[in-house]
Amino acid sequence: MIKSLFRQMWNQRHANVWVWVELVVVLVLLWYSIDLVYNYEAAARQSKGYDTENVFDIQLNIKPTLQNDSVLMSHSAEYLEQIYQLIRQYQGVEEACFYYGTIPYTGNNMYEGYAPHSDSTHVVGCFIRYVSPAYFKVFRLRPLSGSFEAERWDKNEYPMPVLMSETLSDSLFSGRNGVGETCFNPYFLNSAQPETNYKVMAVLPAHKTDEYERYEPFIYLPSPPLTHWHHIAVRVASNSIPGFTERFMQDMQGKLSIGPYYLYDINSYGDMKEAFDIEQGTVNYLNTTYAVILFFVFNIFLGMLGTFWFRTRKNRSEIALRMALGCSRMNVFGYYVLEGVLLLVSAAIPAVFVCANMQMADLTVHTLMEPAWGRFLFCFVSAMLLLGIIILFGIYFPARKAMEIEPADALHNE
Amino acid sequence: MKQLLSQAFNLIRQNPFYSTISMIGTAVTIAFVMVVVMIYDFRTMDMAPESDRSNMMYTGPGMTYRKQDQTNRNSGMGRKAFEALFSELPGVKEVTWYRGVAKTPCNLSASNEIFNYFVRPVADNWFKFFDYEFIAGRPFTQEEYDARRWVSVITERMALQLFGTTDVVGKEYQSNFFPTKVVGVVKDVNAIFQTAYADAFVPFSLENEDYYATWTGGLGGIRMGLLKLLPDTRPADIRTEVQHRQDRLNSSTAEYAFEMNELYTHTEYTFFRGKDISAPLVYSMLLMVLLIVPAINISGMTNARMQERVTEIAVRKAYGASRISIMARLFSENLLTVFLGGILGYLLSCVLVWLGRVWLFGSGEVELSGISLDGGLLLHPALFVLVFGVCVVFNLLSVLIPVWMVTHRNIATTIKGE
Repeated sequence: MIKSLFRQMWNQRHANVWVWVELVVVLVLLWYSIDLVYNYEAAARQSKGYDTENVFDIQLNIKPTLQNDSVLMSHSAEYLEQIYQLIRQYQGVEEACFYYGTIPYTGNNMYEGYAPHSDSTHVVGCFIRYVSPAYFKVFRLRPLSGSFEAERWDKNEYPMPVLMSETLSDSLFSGRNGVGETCFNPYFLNSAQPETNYKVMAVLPAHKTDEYERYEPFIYLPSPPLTHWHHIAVRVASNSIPGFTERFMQDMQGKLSIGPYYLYDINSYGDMKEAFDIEQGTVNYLNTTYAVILFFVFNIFLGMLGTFWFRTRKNRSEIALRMALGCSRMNVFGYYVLEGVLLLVSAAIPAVFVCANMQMADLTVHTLMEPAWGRFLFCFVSAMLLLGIIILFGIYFPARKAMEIEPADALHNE
Repeated sequence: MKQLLSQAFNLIRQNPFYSTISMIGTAVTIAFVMVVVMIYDFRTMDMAPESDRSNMMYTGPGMTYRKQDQTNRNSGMGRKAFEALFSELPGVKEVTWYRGVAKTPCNLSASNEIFNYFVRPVADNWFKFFDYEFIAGRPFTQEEYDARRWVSVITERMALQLFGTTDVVGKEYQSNFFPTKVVGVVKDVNAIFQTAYADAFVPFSLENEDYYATWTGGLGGIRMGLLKLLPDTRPADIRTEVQHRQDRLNSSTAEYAFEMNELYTHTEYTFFRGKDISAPLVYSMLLMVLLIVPAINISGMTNARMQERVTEIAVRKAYGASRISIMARLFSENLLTVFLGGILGYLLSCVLVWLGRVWLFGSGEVELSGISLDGGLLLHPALFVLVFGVCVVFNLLSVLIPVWMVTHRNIATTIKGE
């Protein structure tokens, strides 16, 4: 059957060549698009290291007209404590913390180098966060090894306790567990306090600054007391999430105006991510690629529909004759489907060559995920499956029409 | 012409299936192509308030460093460096500067409710450089600018939200808790205009610029520069001259040096800033790909349909029609389908661009909800010319090969029906 099918396809090469060429071109383009999407989506599915779901970011600020008022400023610590307590007790807030340094989804990053005492030339740059002890509860961080002791999380401890992401710990103390190791910051060597000594309290899972990034070294240090440039993060009970931002703004804007301070802004990390992804252009790349994929797939659908529709019309009597000679209706349908699949498979042969060469020539986008052959296989097979499904869709209608041919009528007309 | 049209209509009626498919295929193709064209167009065409985009150049942030050991690098350009590099450049019509927008709390002193608005500190000639439409009041004056008065020009939207009316010239509000007087109200600026966009404009002179210059030998600061070139000036000449002036500046300074690493044209600044990708190249490749795949598609179908018309064509040829005239005829017949598809596609593209406006245009420092697309953008005449052009190109691509094939068949065998 396959052999006769091939012969038939060859005989219809004039009609088939168009859609075959189209299949080759589209398969290559589709693979490329899916590979691009894979680069982003696979990275986004990796854990970011800390959980921002249901967490809100609150920013305070200071009224510039009042910040030089020395009487007012002498009470600043009390004011901030009042504000912080009000936020913690706000209805729906489960847990609150404050931190500064690298803030997710803002582009505000703090970056410094650290070196282990065992090898002071080996400096590793990393993102920094200065956090209050509750940070690890708010962002739901669980150490891989070691354990977090909140009462010792104090910047006046010596050596100062730090938490490291796995990426940092591995590159600083390669091969060793990390917990209990010490390191220092070479940048401070020329400063007023040349001696810094940090001791790793626990090692955390790998971190990244946002979903569409690679894993980077991260370090956590104890934060000094709350100031107006800290970011306050609150975890909110899931039943209080709807309308939380608006409610909070409405209820608290007046109440938090204490001393020179005022409530500047509140945003959910979810909204911040959405805005950040749009600003970074990631959403644009991805949506454009999805749109282009849809466009090609739709074209293949039309092409298949058109080609096979004409074929049904042209080969009406041939199909009728087949049926008269004992070919069942399902056989006719199967014939169409098989022809479509064979077209796809034969188009895949040149396409896979082109794609593999593109991959080897480093033309793919692999900013976030490595270009491995497993990835190639996954993306190429996905492209073929997608096309296969669409081909079946496109063939379905003309094939149904062919099935419904009444042999007697068709042959009679002839 | 009339005969041609009626025949084309007849063909559509006789072949409803083929016509529908090719019309839908064409419509979707034109829609996608037009979306790409529109994005490029909206981002680069000269349109108020950014009426001179094609002649504009943007400075990068610039940076300062200590000459001796190349350390102490800080980004930012101060007044001294800006004036040394950009004042009275030959070939430049106008120079202005600004600072990036900052989300600033604004409120009425009588009310406790605070709104955050994007406020942009701008130079005194900003409102001459860009074409804002004032609905009330005026720009701030040189005197106000030099005297560092707290005055501002605000948009209609902000006036309505804050005061409930646009009749607000002379009224006061608190901008970052400083009492600020409104001197002018402008029509809302679409967030598509990355540079001209803001909710409120205040004099740049209010910024504490000198503070940033103190630790960088007077070179550093917070200025972003904008140049408007004379029509026949080449960006390359400006770059050379600026480089030249920079060398001269740095040879005269004592401790610090200034480096303006980048000068962008509008297209470079808007697309792929800082990456070595040419936007026109990427866009034209995307257009090609979007046109070619459906063209193969329609070609296949046109080819199939032509098989049914070979006798008609052979007869025409037998009566002396030239190959060219037959090709032109078939070509123009098909053009009708393409145009119908083109109109549909254009409408579809407007819908698509409108639906995707936030992620298509949301880059840079803008409020995403400020991105709007109104009739003025979507219906401007140049776009129709473009749709027409795209239709013709697509038609050419999709029927050329099948038509060429069918007109090259031997008449005698065709008529005999072999």
